[in-house]
This record gives sequence, C-alpha cells and structure tokens, in this order.
Amino acid sequence: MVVKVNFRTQVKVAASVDNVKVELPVNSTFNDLMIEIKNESIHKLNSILFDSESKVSRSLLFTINQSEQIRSEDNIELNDGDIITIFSPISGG
Amino acid sequence: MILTDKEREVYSWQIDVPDFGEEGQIKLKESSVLISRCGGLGGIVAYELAAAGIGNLVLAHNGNIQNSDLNRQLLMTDQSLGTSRVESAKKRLLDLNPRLNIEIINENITPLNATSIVSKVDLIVDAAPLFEERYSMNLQSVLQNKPMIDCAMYELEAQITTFIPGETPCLSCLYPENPPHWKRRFPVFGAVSGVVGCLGAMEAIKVLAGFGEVLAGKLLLMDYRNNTFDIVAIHKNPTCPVCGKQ
Repeated sequence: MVVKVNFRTQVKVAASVDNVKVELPVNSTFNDLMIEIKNESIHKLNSILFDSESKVSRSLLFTINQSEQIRSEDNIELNDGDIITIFSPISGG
Repeated sequence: MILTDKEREVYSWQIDVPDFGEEGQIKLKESSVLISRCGGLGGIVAYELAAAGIGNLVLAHNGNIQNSDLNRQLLMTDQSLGTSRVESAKKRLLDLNPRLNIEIINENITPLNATSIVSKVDLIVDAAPLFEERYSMNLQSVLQNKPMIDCAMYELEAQITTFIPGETPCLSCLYPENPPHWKRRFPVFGAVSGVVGCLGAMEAIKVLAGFGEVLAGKLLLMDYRNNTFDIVAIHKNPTCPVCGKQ
C-alpha cells in the first residue's frame, strides 16, 4: 500500500519538499511508517523527527487525512491512500 | 453595567449582529484579556479587540522597537524606533479607542510572573514566540480555569485553536516537550500574522460574549502558499502533565 506523507512548517523546510509517497506492506502501522522514513533517511529528516534515543519526537504534531490528530504512542493501523501530515510546533512573534 | 450613547453608536454595526446584540457588547465591556506579546500577531489581536470595545487589555511585551519589527508589528511605527513596544502599542490603541483600560507590562511572561498576570484577566491570548512563555501561560490557563486562544505562524503557514480548561486539550497535550529546533526568529510575512491575529480576536470575542462556535478541540491549519485550510480534531492527552488529571 502507499501512504502519502505531507511535511509542514519546519519539517517541510528540512525535507525541502512538500510531500513524499511511502510504500508499506498491508496492515502497516504509524510506527512502521516512521521506521521506514528513518531507515530510508528520507530527505535528512531524522534530526527533527526523532530524539536522541531514536524515538519519534514528542514535540511533533501528526494528523491523518487532514481531519484528525494522531499520536505516535497510539500506533494506529494505516490504510492504502492515507495521508499523514507532520508539523513541528510554531508560535507567535 | 450599561453602554453609553457614544458606545452604542461606535459599536452599532456589530450590535446589529443578531446573536451578539447589546448584551454581547456589555459582556465585552466587562471583560479583561491578556495578550502576550503584542507584536505581529498579538498586536493585531489587540487592535481588533480595541476596535470591538473590549473593556480591559493587559499587554505584556518586553523591549524596544527595532527595525526588524516593522514588517508585521503594526502597532509599532518607524517614528517610535528605540522606544518601548508596550508604550507604543498603548498609544496606538488609545488613539483608536480612548474608552479602553490598558495595563502595560514591560516584561515577557515567565513562570515567575505568569500567576499574577493571568489572575488579572478573563481570557489569555497566546501570541508569544518562545515556548517557555507559552507553557507558562498554558499552565496558568489550566490552574486558573481561564480560556486561552493559541495563535501561531511560520513562513506562510498559521495555526489557531482555543483551549478551554477541563473541556479541550491544552498546549502541553499537543506538544508535550519544548521543541528543540524552534528559534526566536523565524521567517514570516506580516500579512500572515495579520490574518491569524484577526481570527484570534474573533475567537476571543466569541468566547467572551458567548455566541457562535469556537475552535474548541479543533485546530485550524492554514497554508497561504497554496491556500489550503483544514480543521483537524485534536484530543486531550490522558497522561498530560498539565491537564491530564482534569
């Protein structure tokens, strides 16, 4: 199956692209997706997506299908065609 | 509290909004709002709330006006370079609406001053650039049971949500840890801060006057580079160290 990953805010700057499509085995989970991103070192995102212990950073926001927040610790199962969007926190100024 | 004839005339266009009316206007007049800080984003919130007839504003922002403020901080002027930001903001707001009560605090929000400053107001508008400030206001929002409107921007993107203690997630639910990559200075256009500032002011007006539907439990995500607007449902974190037991 294929999952589209959108990059936003500082994550987009680090990725240098708006989005990528990631191929995953059927029944893959969110954490499988993140491991795939990490293993492939997609667009040198690892330093912003993962902490020093290689765990998914807790200071990121994830949404699915542009409608709902998801948490990495919930590790939801993904479906073909899902869209995961990754935001780093932003502020005022 | 009643409105004066002058106030009825000044606010007549919004008093005509059916579910707002004179009752809503009186609620605004009775309300107090903290805005931290009053720069590109918070300054627009302050300006719109001043125009709408909020009764009391508390503005917290340290420092003096710099050239690099002027692309977005519309309460600051070139003539006021080098002078206090909050003094400039107060002057501009009173020029617009001399009926306002404005308290200016020439400090940024910290864990040391947040308790007393938040205690003065009914609602918080978080427009601060540093997450230490934002977390300090979030903690007091939860502890003092006061709504907080959280506005943010980056480049051509913007986000806004309204945190209602006990009902919605809080800032620490969304971002449990201080983001290590975030920096005080970041790329942004003043028009982006202007848009999200107006949205923040409208959220504040709706919360205070008790009408319409606010962004409670919803995060509005905007990207002006390609004109996309999404509203996503956000959820409380049951293990949140700030609001998890509520």
